[in-house]
This record gives sequence, C-alpha cells and structure tokens, in this order.
Amino acid sequence: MSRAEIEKITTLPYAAWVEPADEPQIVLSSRLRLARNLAGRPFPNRLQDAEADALAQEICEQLQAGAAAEAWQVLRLEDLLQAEKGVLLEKHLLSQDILQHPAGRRLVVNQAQSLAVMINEEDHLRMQAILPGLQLAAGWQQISALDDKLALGLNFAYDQQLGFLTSCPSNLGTGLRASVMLHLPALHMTNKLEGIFRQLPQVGLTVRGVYGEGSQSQSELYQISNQITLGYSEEEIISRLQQLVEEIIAQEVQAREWLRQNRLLWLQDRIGRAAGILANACLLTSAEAMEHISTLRLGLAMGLCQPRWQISWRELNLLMLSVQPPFLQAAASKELNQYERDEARAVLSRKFLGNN
Amino acid sequence: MLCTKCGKRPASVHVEQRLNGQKMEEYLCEECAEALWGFGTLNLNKVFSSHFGLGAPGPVQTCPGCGLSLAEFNGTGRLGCSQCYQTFAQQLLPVVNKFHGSRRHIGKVKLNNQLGQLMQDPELANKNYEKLALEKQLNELVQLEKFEEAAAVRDKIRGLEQEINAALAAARQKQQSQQAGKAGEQQ
Repeated sequence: MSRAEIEKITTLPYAAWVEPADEPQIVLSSRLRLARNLAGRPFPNRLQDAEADALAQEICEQLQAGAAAEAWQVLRLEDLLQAEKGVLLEKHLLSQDILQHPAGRRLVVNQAQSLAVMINEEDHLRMQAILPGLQLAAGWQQISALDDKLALGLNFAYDQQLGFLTSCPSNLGTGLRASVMLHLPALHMTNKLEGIFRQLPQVGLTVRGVYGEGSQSQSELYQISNQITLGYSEEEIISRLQQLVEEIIAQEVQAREWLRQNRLLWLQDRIGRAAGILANACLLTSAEAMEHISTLRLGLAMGLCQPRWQISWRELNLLMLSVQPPFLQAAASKELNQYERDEARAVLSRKFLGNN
Repeated sequence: MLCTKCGKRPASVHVEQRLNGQKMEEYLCEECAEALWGFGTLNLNKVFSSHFGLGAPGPVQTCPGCGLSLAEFNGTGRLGCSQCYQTFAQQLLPVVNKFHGSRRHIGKVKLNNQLGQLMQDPELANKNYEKLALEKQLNELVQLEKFEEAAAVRDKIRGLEQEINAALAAARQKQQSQQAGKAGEQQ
C-alpha cells in the first residue's frame, strides 16, 4: 500500500459515523466488536514478533480470499507515524492496547472505514463494524457475515460449553461487545444523568464518557456497551442494548422538551454564547471547544441555531473530530505544542462557523 | 520545543505540579510523560485473576499448550492460549460464572464442526438458537421452582430437538446417497 493511500486513512478526519443518520442526532454511532482467536496458537501476548507477523499474514490472506472480497487496506502498525496512530485512535479504528507493542500487529480497513479488523491486539482478531446512528442490527449483520467468511478458512478456538475462547475471560462466549455513542446534554443539564447511569449495571451494561475523564464528559458524549458476553445470544445482547438506548433517547427528548418549556431563554443564551466563542475565539482549548460544540449540537437538534451560523450536522460532526489534537497535527503536518494547537483549533472553528 | 526531561524528542505534554506552594512546570514528550505516570487506566483483567488466591497450595501447574502458569495469569489477567481454559478449568469456571452469571455459551456456534450443517440452513440455525434460549429459560424456571411452566418449556425443547435431528439425519442421508452416486459413476 502506498504512502498516499495510507495517508487517506490516517490524516483525514472523515469517518463513516460523521454522516448524519437521523435528525435529532442523539445517537452518533453504533459499534460492534467481535473477538476471535485461532485454535492451537498462543494468544498474541505470548507470540514472538515473527510468529505474530506470520499469523497476521495468514489472517490477511483469508480476508482477501474469495471472489467477493472487499477491497481491504492493510496497515502495518510498525510503519505508522506517531501522529497517524493518534488519528486512528480518534477514529476508533485502533485501541490504546494494540499500540503498546506495534511489531507484528496490523489494521485492516475497508474503503468506507466502516468495517475493520485489528490483528493481534489482545486477541488474534478483533473485528469491528461502526455505523452512524442507531444501527446495531445492521452492524451485527455485517460483522457476523465477515465472521462467517473468515471461519471458512480459519480454525477459530471454540468450546461447546464456553463458546468462542478469548485471551481475557471477560470476552468469552460470543466475544461480542456492542456499543452506542450517545449525546446527552439535556439529561446532564437537568441533573438526571447520574441516576440513569447508576441503573445500567443492573442490566449488564456499562457507560464511559467520551473525550473526558472517567464518566464525566465535556462533550456530553457517552459510550454505552454490554459487559457480559457469555450466556446470552448475540441477538439478545443487541436487543437489550437497543431497548435501553431507545429508553435513554426518550428520556433525553423529554429533558430537551422540559428545557424548551421552562428554561428557553437560558438555553438560547448558552447556545448563542457557544456559537459566539466558536466563531470568534483566537485560542481554544480542547475542553472548551468540546463543551461549546456540544451545546451547539443541542441547539441544532432543537432548532435553536441562527441560520447565519450556517452549520450542518455533517460539519458539526467533522468539526468535533477535527479539533482533536491528532487531526490538528495531521492538518499542520507537524507536531504542535499546546499553544499552537489552541490557535489551530480556533482557526478551524471560526472557519466551520463561516467566520474566516 | 524539545522534551525538558530527555531533551531528544519533541514535547507534547504539559505537566504542572504544585509542591509545597512551589509551581513546577515541565514540557515532556509522550514517552517521558508515560514513564512519569505509568498509571491512569485500570487493568480490569485483574478482576479475574484476583479471585484465585495466590497462596493456594499444590503443585505448580502450567498449561501444556503455551507454558502459562497460574501465577503469570494472576499477574496479567490474560490467558496464554485457548487450551488454558481446559488446563485451569477448575479455577477459571467459578470466576467466569461469577462475572457473566453463566457458564454456558448461547449464540453463534462455530462453523465447520458437527453443527456446521445447522448454520448453513438459516431455518435450522434459528431453531437451534431457539432451543438454546429455551434451555436457558428452563434453568431459570427450575431455579424459581416453577415446575409446571418448566415442563412445558422442556416439551418445547424436545420438540425442537426432534425437528433438528430429523433435518440433520435427512441431510446426512442425502449427502451419503450423493456420495454413493458419485462412487457408482466412477465405477
């Protein structure tokens, strides 16, 4: 694969989920991940680099086998620059874990970057489907078809009792982790978020804040996923998550309506200030940018944005990715210090808000 | 700007520390910053290993598949190969059960084993899923001592089993007769 082709994936802030799927945009993306290992081979943490590389080659060949093979792009992690790894992390195509030891590790992505396979992360294969909006069933179909195809040529480690065997017992059985990224600003503003999150473990789900420390998130983006992988079928795991997410969406919609009825002026003020800062600031920290982009998202969803701000869903989604440090550095083609990043972020934000 | 610690790589992390009212500022590269912290994310895998009790007496057991010992697993929370699940079944299964609330996989079955035929026929595959789901329901009902309902579920499972077995037998017969036909042609 040529350097130019690699760069298409590792520099542009485009990811499949920036394309808006529905209007309120409460759900940004749905992600499904399937863990598989080859039988009779040590798990990646006990493979020598050369063995890992040979095994990766074997998996790549199977991916490219068959007439209807996708046009996969294969990236060797050893060949990637530091900044490129950061970009792939932001796009959720790579994990922090696989970057600990890049030798013998690969990332395989399809053209749309909606389907990817991490090779030799914690498990030999970590397949992933990522789609915009709430599309768990569609994502499952895609990833299950990929799994079936690979199973024709690869002997997966499987046990009649325990299902698919994984390096960490927490992924045992289905090997499936389904997750949904949600934007929940109104529930946060109305102080209802914590109570809802406290209920999630009771149904085997966990929550993680995106772009923030712990469960606090400046961007009000939260990733909700299943914790348990054994004892429930894939369909059950997905439908349970789907039901819960639909319930949370309904609550967020209610909270937005409550704000409209009871705190409209306050809300308009917040949204106007957010737009003002994004359109006029000369230095923007990451936390500040994410907070205001989040408020603007809410404004757009509730029809409270001024037409002259000229912002669309797609642009807002792109802006959210573009202001992350790895993308700023990729766009500048060099390492930026914090001050330079804050400046670049402000330049970008002004441009997106039509204020060059 | 170069890292203030190693002076080699470009700095990308700004560290500010206040010690006894004195402010200390450093600009570090990612590697030095990582070495400085080396923490910040929980290793959830350890939840598994910590259930074992390291001091358990007995011979040191290692997995014949990959040479992993229980002590090593306790350190990382990761198994070495698929065979480890057999080697350490006695210690692992209770923990798996505790974490997942189950020790029985329900869902997709592996292709190319005896059940491979099931998966090639979507209708049969669905029946198989249905059967597995009912088995789970049966367990739950028995635990709740709802025996009448359990009996009804058990009958449904038996019915499904019969249907699946009949379909599999028919498929096998068809395969055999095809093979016999081919053999006949060759003769």
